[in-house]
Amino acid sequence: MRITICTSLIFLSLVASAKSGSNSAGQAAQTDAEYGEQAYKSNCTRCHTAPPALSPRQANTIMRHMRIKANLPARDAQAVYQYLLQSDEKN
Amino acid sequence: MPGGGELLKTMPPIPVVSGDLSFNTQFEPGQQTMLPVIAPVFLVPIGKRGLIQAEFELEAETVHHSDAGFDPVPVSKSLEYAEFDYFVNRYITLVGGRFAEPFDIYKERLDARWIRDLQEPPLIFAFSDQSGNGGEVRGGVPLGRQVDLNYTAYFSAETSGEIAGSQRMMGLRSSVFLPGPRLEIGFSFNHTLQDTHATGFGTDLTWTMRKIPLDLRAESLISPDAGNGYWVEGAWRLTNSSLPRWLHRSQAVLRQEQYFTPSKPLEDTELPTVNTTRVFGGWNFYLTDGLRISAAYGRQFADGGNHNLWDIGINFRLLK
Repeated sequence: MRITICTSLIFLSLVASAKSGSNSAGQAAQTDAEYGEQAYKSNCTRCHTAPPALSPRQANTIMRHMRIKANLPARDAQAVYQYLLQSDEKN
Repeated sequence: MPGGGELLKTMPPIPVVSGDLSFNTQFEPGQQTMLPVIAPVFLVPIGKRGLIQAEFELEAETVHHSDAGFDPVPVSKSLEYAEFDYFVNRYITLVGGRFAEPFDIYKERLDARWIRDLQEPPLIFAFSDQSGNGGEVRGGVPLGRQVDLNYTAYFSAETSGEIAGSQRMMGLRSSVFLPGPRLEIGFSFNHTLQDTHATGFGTDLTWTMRKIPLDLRAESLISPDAGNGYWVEGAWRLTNSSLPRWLHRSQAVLRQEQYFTPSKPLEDTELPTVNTTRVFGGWNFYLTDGLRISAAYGRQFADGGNHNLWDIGINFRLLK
């Protein structure tokens, strides 16, 4: 019973992701800002709420921490870092 | 897309103190449990490629029996992790010291009380709720624009001690993350190299849906030695514009979980001793992004008897 539930969930998820992935692949090249926002929403918000405003030096430390905690690829860590700084500047 | 060269070379990092403070109380038939927890996290960057990070946890579980009064209140201290991380390059990070066991995802990512959607951890978390003293190799590798591969392999030595003890064990976790649909599917393996020589396999799934404000999380444990189990949890953010504005900062949570004991149960484990099924429904309300109040109701069905669980609490995220 439990194996059936888990297998079904994984199968449904894969089908949905394949569909969404093919749509994304067709999109035009992203800017750094767009990629940073996407990386932030894809990686950070799936576990926690937005952090408080961070100084650039604090954000640098936090991103090192998240590279470990979430196995964040270096590319995405850099993009999220830039996104956080730009978000704080806007606010 | 950024080139992704050396990590964050623009501004030198500084030490940061993070963590959380929380207080929860749980009601079961005949008893009330109160649990204040302080869990500070210290982050100290070292040079251009290093980080020392540590999390301590201090809790004082207070149990009141309706017929016998208060139990003694032990203050429990533990070192969740205290590790040195060295970023070798974009794809490889070496970790040495004490680390949280990366079996499934709950221990590493969801255990922090300001992050978990329900304060009561899943039944099978008792299998992976441990830390190791040794080393890890880990990293995240983009496989094109729409797929990331994550990996962690670890070895831990046997260490005695109440606060920072560990078992001799080895294991790995690997996952595929699809940033487009925000879906991650992982596989874990752990083998204890002493005493019980227990082996466990795990699978995990997280899916933050784009079209609807729903977070789906699930884990399973398959182990001939420790038993089998799973949990599936959905958290619905009430951001729909048709709802009252004050509700937008809240979240409704549902969890279903089951655990099945092995033919010969392990000793010295906090896993249930009988087959158990639980269902939880909860509610989280974010007063701010870092301050949350929560309430949950659960019903446990077990061979030894069924009962209700009520849980209310408050969590505060610290970041300085």
